Amino acid sequence: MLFFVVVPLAAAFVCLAAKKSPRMSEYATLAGSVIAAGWVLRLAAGAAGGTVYFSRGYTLYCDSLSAYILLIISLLSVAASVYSVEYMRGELKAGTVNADGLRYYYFLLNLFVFTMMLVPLANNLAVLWMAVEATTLSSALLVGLYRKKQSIEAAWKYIMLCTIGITFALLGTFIMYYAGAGVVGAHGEAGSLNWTDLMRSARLLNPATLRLAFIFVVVGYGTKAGLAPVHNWLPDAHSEAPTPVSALLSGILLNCAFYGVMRFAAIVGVSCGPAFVQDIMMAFGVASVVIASLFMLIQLSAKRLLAYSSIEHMGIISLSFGLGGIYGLYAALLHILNHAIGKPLMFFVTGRIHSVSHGARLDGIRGFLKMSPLTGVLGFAGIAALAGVPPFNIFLSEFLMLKGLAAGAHWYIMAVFLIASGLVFFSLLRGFGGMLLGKKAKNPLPGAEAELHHGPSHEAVRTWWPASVMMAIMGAGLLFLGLNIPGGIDHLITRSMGIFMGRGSF
Amino acid sequence: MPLIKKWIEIFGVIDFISIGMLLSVVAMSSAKRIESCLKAYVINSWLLALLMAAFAVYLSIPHLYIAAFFTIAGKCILIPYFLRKVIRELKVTREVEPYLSMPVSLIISFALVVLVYSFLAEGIFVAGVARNVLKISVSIILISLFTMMNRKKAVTQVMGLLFMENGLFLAGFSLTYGMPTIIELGVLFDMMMGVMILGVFLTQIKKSFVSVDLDQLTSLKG
Repeated sequence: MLFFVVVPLAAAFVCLAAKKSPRMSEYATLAGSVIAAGWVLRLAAGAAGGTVYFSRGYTLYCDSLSAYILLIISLLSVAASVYSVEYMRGELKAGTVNADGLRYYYFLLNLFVFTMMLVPLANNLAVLWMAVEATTLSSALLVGLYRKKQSIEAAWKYIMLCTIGITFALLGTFIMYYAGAGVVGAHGEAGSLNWTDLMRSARLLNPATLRLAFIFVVVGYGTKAGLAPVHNWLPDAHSEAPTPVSALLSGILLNCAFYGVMRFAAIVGVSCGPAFVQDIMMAFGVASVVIASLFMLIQLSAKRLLAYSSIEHMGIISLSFGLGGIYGLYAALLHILNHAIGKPLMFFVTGRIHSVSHGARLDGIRGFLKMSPLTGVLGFAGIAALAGVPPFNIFLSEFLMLKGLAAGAHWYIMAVFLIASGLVFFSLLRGFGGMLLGKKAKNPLPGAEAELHHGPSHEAVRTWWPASVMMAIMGAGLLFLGLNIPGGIDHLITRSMGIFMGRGSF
Repeated sequence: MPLIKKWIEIFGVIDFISIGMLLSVVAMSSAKRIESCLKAYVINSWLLALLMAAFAVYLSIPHLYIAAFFTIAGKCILIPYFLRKVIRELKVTREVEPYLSMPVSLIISFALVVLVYSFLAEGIFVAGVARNVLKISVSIILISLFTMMNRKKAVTQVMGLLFMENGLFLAGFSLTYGMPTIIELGVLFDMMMGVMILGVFLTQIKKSFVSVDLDQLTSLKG
C-alpha cells in the first residue's frame, strides 16, 4: 500500500530518459503526480477512518498525521506540475533554459517530490533525517537551475546553511537513539529509532537527555522550516528558484521539515511534560512572525515578499503548535493546509505577472488586472487570504489560534501578533495592489529595466488553460475552506491531534 | 583477541585516537594552505575508521567492521579524491585567507575545547571506555563551525562541513557505539551526494564570479 511512493521516482527516470521529446517529460510528470495523488487520496480516506498503514518491519509507516501531510504534498505536486508546463514552456521560448535544461528540470522536480513524500512515510527517525537531507540536495539543484550569479549564490547559501543546520538535527537523532538504547527494544535489539517504538515507551525515556535532543532537533529542522533566527537562506532560495519550485519550497518543503519537529515533539512532550516543548515552539513562532513582518516592509521584489510571508506563516504554525490544546493544535494543522493552498497560488500568479513585467521588482508593472482579469482576481483573493481577511481559509486558522491565545491568557503575544499581522497586511496590499491595479505606465521605469530577471519576452500574458483551471480551483479552495471544513479533513486533523494529546493512533 | 582487548583498555587507545582527531581539526583550523586542510581531513577520516575498528574489536560488534570499511572507502578515498580534482580544476590560490590570524584562531580553538569540557560535565553521562569521546566530538564540531566562519574560500567551507560531519559520527559513536549499519551507510551516502553537489556549485561559482571568495557572494541581502 505504501510503495506507491516509487511512482514519482519512476517518473523522474522517465523524464531523464526522454531525450528526444521534451513533451514526454511533461506528460510523465503530470501522469506520475496524478497517479500518486490518486493513491494518496485512497490512503488518506483510510487514515481518516482510523486505519494505520505500515510496511513489513515498520520501516514505512502512515498514520493520520502522515496521511494529512502526504495529501498536501501530492495535491500540491499535481498543481506544480500543471503549472510547470505553462511556466517552463515560457522559459524555453524566452531562451532562459534549453531543451536539455528542461529535461533536467523535470527529472529534478520529480525527484524532489519523491524525497518529500518519503519524509512523512519514514518511521525510523534516521531515515526521516536522510529524506529531509535528500530534499535539500535535490531542491538545491533546482534553485541553481538558471546558473545566473544570484541563483548560484542562493543555491550555495541554501545548501550550506541547511546542511549545517540539519547536521544538528542528526546529532539530536543520535541523542534520541542514546536515550532509547537501554529502554526500547522491539526485537531484542539494543535500541530502536522507530518512532512507533520510541513513542510507545516514551514514559521510560530520560527527560534530561530528551530535552537536549529536542533542542538540537528544533534548531536543525527549524533551519529547514524557516523559523526565524535561522531563516536566512529562505528568501534567497525562494526568490531565485523557478516559480513552480518556489511554490513547492514554500508550500510543502517547509512543512516537511516542521513535520520532523512535530514527531520529536510528540515523544518529548510525553517524557518531559508539554510545557518544555510549548515554550520553545512559541518562542520560535513569535520571533518568526515579528522578524518576517518587519522585513516585509522593505522588500522590493514580489517573490521575496512572498518568501518573507512564508516565514511569517511558519511562525504562525509554530506558535499555534506550541500553544497546544484543542485550539492550538487544530489551528496549526489546519494552517499547514491553508498556507499550502494560498502561498503556491500567489507564486503562480506572480509567475504570470513576471512573464509580462519589466524585471522582478514590485514597480516593474502596473495594472495587471486589465491584462489578465482571471489571474488578477485570483491574485487579490490570494493576498486577502494570506493577510487573513475573513471569508478566506487562513482567517479561520488564525482566528482559532487567537482563541487559543485568549484561552491561555497570553495577552502580550496576542498584541504582538495582531500588530505584526497589521504590518503584513499593509506590505502585501501595497506590494501587490500596485502591481494589479495602478495605472499602466507608458514607458517602463528606467531603474526597472536594468534589473531584468526574466525579461519582457512578449506582451501577452502566457497562459495554458489547464493551469488557469487549476489556479481557479485553488482560489475556490481558499474560499471554500474558509466557510466549511470537509469531514474527511476534519477527521484527519482531529485524529492527528490525538498523537500530541496522549491518545496516539498507532 | 582478548589480548588486543586488554591492550585497548590499558593503553587508552580509544582516547588516543580521538585526541588525534581533535588535533587534526585544530591543525585544519590554523592551516595556511588548502592542501594541508585536505591532508588533515584525510588523517581525521583514517582515525575515525581506526576508531570504529577499535570499537569493533573491543566490544566484539562485527557490523562495525563494515562501517569502518565504508568510512575508509568514502571519506578516506572517494571524497578527498573528488575534492582534489575540484581544487585542481578551480586553480584555487594556495593561501586560504582567514579573517583572523593563525595564533588568534588557535587560541579560539583552545577556548572552545575548554568551554566544552567545563559545560558538558553533566547532562549526558557516558561511562566506560568512551567517556572522553563525546566531549572531544562536540569540540570538533564547534571548531569546524568556527573555521567555516573564519575562512573566505568556498572550498574551506566545504572542508569545515566535512570535519563537522566526522565530529558528528564520533559523537554518535560515543553515545551508542554506532548506529545500525544501514543507517550509517545512508548518512554517508547523503553526505557524499552533498559534497558532489557542492563541487558542482563550486565550479559554477568560479565560472560566474571569476573567483571562489565568498566575499563576492553579496548580491542577495535583506
